[in-house]
Amino acid sequence: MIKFENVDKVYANGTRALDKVSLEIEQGEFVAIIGLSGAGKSTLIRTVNKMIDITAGKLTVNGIDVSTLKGKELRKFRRKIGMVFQSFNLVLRTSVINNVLAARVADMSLIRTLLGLYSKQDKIQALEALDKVGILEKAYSRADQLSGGQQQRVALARTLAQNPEIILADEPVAALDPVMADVVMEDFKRINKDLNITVVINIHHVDLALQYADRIIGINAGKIVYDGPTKNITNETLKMIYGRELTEDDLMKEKKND
Amino acid sequence: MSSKQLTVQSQLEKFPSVLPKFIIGLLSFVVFYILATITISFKGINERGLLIAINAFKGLFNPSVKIITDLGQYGLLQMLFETLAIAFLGTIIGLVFAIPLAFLASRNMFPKGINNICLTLISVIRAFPSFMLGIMFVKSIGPGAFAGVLSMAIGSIGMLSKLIIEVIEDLNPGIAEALDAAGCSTFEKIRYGLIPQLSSNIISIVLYRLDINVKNATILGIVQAGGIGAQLMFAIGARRWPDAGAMLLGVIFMTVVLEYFSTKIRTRLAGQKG
Amino acid sequence: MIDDILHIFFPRTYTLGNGKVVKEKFNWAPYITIAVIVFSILCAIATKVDIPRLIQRSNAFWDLIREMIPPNWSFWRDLQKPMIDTIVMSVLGTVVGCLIALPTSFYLSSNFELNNVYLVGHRGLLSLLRTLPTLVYAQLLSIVIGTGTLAGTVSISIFTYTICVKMLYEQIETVDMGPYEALQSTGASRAKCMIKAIYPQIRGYFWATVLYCFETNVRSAAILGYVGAGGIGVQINEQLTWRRYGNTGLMVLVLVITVVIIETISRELRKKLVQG
Repeated sequence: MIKFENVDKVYANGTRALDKVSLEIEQGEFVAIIGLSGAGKSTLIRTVNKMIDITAGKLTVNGIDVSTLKGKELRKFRRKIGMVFQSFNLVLRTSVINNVLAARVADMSLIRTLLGLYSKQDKIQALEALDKVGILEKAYSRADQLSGGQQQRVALARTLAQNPEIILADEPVAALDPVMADVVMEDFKRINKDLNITVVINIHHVDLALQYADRIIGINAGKIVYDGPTKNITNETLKMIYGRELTEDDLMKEKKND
Repeated sequence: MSSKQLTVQSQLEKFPSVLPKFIIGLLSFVVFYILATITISFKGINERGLLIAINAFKGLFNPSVKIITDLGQYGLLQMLFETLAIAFLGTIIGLVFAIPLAFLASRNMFPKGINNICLTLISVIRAFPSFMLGIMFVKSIGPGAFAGVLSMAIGSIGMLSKLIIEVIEDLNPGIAEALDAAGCSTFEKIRYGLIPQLSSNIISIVLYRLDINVKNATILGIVQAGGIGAQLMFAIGARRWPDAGAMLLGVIFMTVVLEYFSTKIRTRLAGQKG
Repeated sequence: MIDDILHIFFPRTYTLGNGKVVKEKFNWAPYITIAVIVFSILCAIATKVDIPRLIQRSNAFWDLIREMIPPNWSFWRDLQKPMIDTIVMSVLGTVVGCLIALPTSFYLSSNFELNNVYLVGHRGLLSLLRTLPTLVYAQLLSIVIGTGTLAGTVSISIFTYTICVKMLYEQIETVDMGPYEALQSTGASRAKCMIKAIYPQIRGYFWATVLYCFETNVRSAAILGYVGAGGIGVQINEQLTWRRYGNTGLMVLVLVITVVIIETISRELRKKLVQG
């Protein structure tokens, strides 16, 4: 369970990215965080695995206080949290399977990492992860030969190979076309339901958020302005979260409407 | 369900084996080991060597102030300037020969037959060990900086030509056409069309080669072709560590300063292009 | 006429029909040319350039070359071991230098090493060491470690290290840090992230650098023997001292052929490596 208690994040230049954030996310939930660019979505997600440090308040994940973690403990903690990025972040020059296997090195010795000696169990897990996102047949292709949507699925498989309890996704479909965006969001949904992994997604395409998430968290200028089930969202609440009417840019589909 | 399991299994079998890389690694290691034992004999660091090393360290870091401040013939400044002079003159003379040679060898300037002859000539000149060239000049023309200049000149032709050829072949023919259409004479075409495109590149190339030549000039000193090299090697050979330290300092200083300015000018030139 | 000459040195100012005043840009070229010519003359004096002596003694030079052709083929037997030594020294020196350079270059890149003082200081030290030619290291080492190929190999390693490490850290700084961040989020240590996320991006460049260093090292390895650090340099010194120019001719031939072969192979390999 992820628990924020009055968390603040103030950057060195004075920007207040998170302002008294309090929320709880239970294991197995599918949460979408929406809001304007720069509202604090990215910061919020990255505090969970300590890619960004908080400046006030208390943040616990499954009872562990995140701000006390460092070194070996921090690395052990991060093994259980997977992260998916907007720009996929794959090593393009090497094969798909090598990208997914890279998630296993955290548990391997330095020598074996250096020599690329993965155990049979590692390889099976990696292949099964690829299977779960439906691109097993691409296992030995070079990563840069895949389309954007396929690359993101490889990135997703990479997180699955960690056997995570939580998956954090920072604008995972922003760089994809509407069709592939749907496919990838479906993958997230399926993983969430089948494996009971908590999924927290940053997303600025409101229609996708509403379509796939069970729970929506709306952020405006670092403050949580909405936190509740998707079905309770109205146009009014959306206007409150965004501080304005929604535009075409906030939607993935219906973009090319004429 | 069973067909899915089959796919994972079959993909697993296709996993590229680490064996070939492992064998190559092992083989290379064995080869290197054998080569090493054939050619290298490690007699162990004896006490004397260690003593010398300690003395050397002490001396090198206490450079001889006398040499540094001496402005006369045996002073550091004179030696450095002689080294620089050898490098500079050698580069300029090399350039004088390299430019026509480069034009002759460029595909957009002269026919292929002439190109190939010149390219072969350039390759041979480049491959000739400049070190030996230095010794040969010393033996025939006599020791001293002059021999150094000559060897440096010939040694530079190779690389200068090669780089200038690249620049010439990169020339934009459109500019020549435009000038033609405006009714320019050949002289004007060269002056306003050719030279501006070439000059900044050639200056860059010359500075690059100058850096290298300054380092080589130090080496040439060893075969008595002038420059600080000879004095440096004598000092080290005679274990005059403070003197050697002063000279090393001078060499480092001169090289670093030259590199700094040359890089600065070259980046400025590169920025002005296009 | 005089006006034209003056025009080269001083920019003109033009007044256009509509009253605008345009000044020509200052032309550096003629001043630089004059400076170069003057400096060249200074250098010529300093290096005691003596054209008459050149013409007089040029016969001696061509005589020397004539004695080198035809080369003394029987000398090849004595050259074999020194030649092998030279090449082995280059190979081993290059390999050792580059292998040590690879991991240390990470800690010299600004992406990883955040302590700026350490970074600038260390890099500064390396650039100082880079200015010293291999030969100087060879002479110093042959005094301390003893003459022979070990001194040569070590000096080549040191020199190769200084060059290789710079080329590597410059390349590392251009790399995409995305995969590195992704791997960090999985809980891998910094070293493992470097191996899995950064190294694959610079692998081709690394091997190209190794080949480049090897090319350079073969040339300098030939000279090292002159100061007693093993290789063919010893023979060069001896044969020239004894004026055995036939033997010298053979050495020149062997060296030229070797360098050409190695450079050609290296160039082809490098083209392939940088692509992949």
